[in-house]
Amino acid sequence: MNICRKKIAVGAFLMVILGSSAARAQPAQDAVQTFLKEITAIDFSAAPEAVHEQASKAHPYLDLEALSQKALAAHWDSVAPEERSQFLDLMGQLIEYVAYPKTRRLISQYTVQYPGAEESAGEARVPAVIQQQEKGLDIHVLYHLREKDGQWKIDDVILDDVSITEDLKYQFDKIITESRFAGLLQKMKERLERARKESTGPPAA
Amino acid sequence: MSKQTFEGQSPAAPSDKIGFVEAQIRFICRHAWAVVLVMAIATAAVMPLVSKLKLRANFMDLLPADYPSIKGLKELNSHVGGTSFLIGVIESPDETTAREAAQRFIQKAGSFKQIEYVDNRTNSPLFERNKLLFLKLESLQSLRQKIQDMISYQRRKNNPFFVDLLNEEAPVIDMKSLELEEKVYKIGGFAVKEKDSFMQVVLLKPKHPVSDFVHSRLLFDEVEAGFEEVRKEFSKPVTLGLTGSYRTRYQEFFTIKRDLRVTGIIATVLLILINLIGFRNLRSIVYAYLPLSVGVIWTWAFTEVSIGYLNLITAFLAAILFGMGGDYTFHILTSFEDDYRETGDVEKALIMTYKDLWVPLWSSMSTTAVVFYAMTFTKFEGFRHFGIIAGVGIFISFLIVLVLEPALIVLIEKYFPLRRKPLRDRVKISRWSIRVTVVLGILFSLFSLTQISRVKFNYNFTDLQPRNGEAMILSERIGEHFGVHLNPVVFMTPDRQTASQLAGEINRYIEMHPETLFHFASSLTLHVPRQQEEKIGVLKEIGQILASQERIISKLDGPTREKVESLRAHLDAAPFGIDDLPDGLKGQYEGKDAKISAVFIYPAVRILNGVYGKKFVKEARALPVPPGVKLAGEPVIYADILNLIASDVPVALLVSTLVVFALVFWHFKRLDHVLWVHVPFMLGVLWMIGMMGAAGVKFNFFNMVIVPSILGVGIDNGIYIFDRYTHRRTENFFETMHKSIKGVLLSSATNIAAFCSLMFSTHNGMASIGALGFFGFLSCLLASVFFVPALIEWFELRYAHLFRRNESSESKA
Repeated sequence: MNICRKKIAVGAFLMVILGSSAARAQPAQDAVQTFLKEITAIDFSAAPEAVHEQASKAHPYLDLEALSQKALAAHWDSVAPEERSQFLDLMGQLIEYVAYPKTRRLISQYTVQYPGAEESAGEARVPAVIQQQEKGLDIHVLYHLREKDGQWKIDDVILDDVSITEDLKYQFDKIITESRFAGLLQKMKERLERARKESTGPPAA
Repeated sequence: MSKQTFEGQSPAAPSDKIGFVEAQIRFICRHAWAVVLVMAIATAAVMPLVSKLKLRANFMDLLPADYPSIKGLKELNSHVGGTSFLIGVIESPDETTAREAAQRFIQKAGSFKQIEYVDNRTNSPLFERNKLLFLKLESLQSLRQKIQDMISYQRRKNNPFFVDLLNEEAPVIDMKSLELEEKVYKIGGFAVKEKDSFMQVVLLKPKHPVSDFVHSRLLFDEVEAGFEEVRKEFSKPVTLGLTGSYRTRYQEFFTIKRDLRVTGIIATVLLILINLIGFRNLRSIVYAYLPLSVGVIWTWAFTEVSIGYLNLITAFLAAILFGMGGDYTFHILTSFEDDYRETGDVEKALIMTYKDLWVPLWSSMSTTAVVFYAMTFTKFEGFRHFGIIAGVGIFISFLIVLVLEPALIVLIEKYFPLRRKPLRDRVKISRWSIRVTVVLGILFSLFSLTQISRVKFNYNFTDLQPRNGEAMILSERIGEHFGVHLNPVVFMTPDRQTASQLAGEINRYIEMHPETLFHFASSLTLHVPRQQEEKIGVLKEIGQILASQERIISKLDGPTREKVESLRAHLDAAPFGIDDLPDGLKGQYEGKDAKISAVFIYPAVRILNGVYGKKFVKEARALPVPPGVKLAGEPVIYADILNLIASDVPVALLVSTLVVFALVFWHFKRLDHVLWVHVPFMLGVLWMIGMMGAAGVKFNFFNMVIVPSILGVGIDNGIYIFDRYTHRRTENFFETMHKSIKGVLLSSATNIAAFCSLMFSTHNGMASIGALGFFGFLSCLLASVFFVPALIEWFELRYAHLFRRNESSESKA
């Protein structure tokens, strides 16, 4: 009887370990690849609702909250929950209407190589090389990911040594200093409106 | 109307003592053929002198040869060939075509026979390679920052997750905002984009001086032929325009020559018409103009012997001599016609005419000659030569008319007798018309008083150039576009170091005095940029930035990428010194003999406007300079011309006015008569100002020379009219007018016609002389023939005689 209990316990332990391994799922590189694949699959000429549905498949691989928190930095804690929620919503839409089409334009024509990802202590750095016709003009992008809820999620995109969170931080700081957080939300709405008007068809390849 | 017998006048009887005048006329009448023959031979003899007489259309000839500014410019020319260029403007709607055509043209121009060198920075490998070194160090540092900003912006934008919330404008590399270290670098690298065309300027330094028009013609032919070969290489349209002193002076010279021909023809036609209207026979043309033509020929011969050339102002003296000489011929002719109708005998008629007119003719000639001679004391050669030639010319014309005209009359009337029709009865002048004339005259006088403040002196030399002169229009376009006016003054210093120091001091002076008319000063050393090592360091950094960002550069828009590539071509600069400068540039400052080192001061304004020109030169003269440093340049000459006119002309006018007053007083012996004689002239001047103000005509240094002529003619009319009136005590004023009016009308009409013809000149300076002469002589005519007689008659009818006339008849012979 005791031997049975022990076997059951070991088996359960192994199942937990294996299960958690299974739940840890893809390596970071795979997460980036899947993310880019989902973006490439979006048909931006479809109706906005369809585009949103397709774009939602890429969202799980993006840690919008972490990215936004990094960009807002000190302002994050001082913002009221309702405004933060509004901010995140706008940020998500901007990524959908601005970042995803640009990403699709960047990678759709070219082969993307992944020289080798680095993972450690819940963080990962996945370099990607978007190969151009001229080798010297290859585009090097670095995706920074964190493990969250058993999933690797992108929280920064660095291209030509320009970190998107750093750049957004610079812009947010400037706008908030001039016209407070409400001003930032207003700017985001205006930019979103402009992006919606520009998205009249599929992004240029 | 039959001629009256005048009370108190005894007709000359054969047994009476023959006066001098009568003896002269009898001699001429009896030896008419000899007189004509001698005149013809003498005229033929002087023709070779006349054929040598040249026109010098150079402003330099308007000042004495030993004037400091003339000597200075000659010295400057001897060392460095002067400050003038032939400027070629290559234009095309397509920028590339304009640039490439300019390059090809510059390559060709270097081998032109008439060209010393070509001053164009883009042609020199040294300047082309190192052109960024001519920018200020701060500008290069700013350029580096701009490039970094641009790269940064592009890097941000390239990130697909980049969201632009700030709506920042993309940083641009604006080369035009970069500052040159020295303003002199603007010269020689001229290029600008206009709305519809791109303009590239090339400066060509000829071997010959500006005044050598023969070589200038060869130069223009060579340049135009050379450009034509270049033009054929391009499919897109490209043109060449020429300007600069060489072109503008040349055009001015030939414009004046052409104008003299055209206005001469117009004047001749008008004068013939006036003659025919006045006398209704063709022979009067011969009587009037043959002696005048001989007079002009002898005057030109005198000019060739005494002066040797005609200048810009004396060039059209022929018209004035014809006009003013016509004074004498017409008074003699009109009086002769009347006397011949009365006597039926040529000799008797001539004797009567000359007895009547001898004194007023001599007085008129003397006053006119004195007015011109008064101009000879000025140093301004334009007026001095005018005074000499006109003063002597009037005297020569007068003598010839006195001698030749009666001889011609005797011969032509003998072999081609002409029956004269009787004169119509005198037109009666009603009191109503006298009143109207007086009222109109007073009203116009009042109007003219209001115009005095409007009539000013126009100092702008550009208004005295040929109308629609292409070279001048092009010159103004260039000056406006490139912000550099190529009319510098030059300080000649003994060596390079002095020049460098002086240029530095002047540039510091300019910085401290924002109101100065100086734009910048340059010496040879300023053509070597400063801080070259530091600048080369900045350029290397820029090169490294660009080399590390190839991918980003490849993604830039077309125009920006072109700018970057163009910039890259000049990042490989190397340090250089004075010895590396092109020989042509060194020659511009130090000449081949390097005995001087020049400092050029360029004006900030257009100094062909004489107001600014004078101030600019005055400011340059006031600068503290080391001993031995001399100022020279064309602007100095322009300023000296204007200064001389301002100082000498009022004195000349005053002297001539006083002397004329004295002469008229000697003639009439009574102050009240003298004042009345002056009234037509004074009113004439007032009305002339009224007409000028209404027509927008201003005085300038060309037409000021006419003012003494107007004084002379205005007085002449008064002398003829009042001389007769005071000696014919049985005539009322209008009877006197009837006798003398025709002569006054015809002589005034010829003056007016002569100046009217000048108004057809395409040279604005000459046309302004025509306008002023037209207004002046017309005013004097209206005043002397209509208004003053009407005024006198109105007074005499209502009150008393204004003129106390002589009690006994006097023969002035």
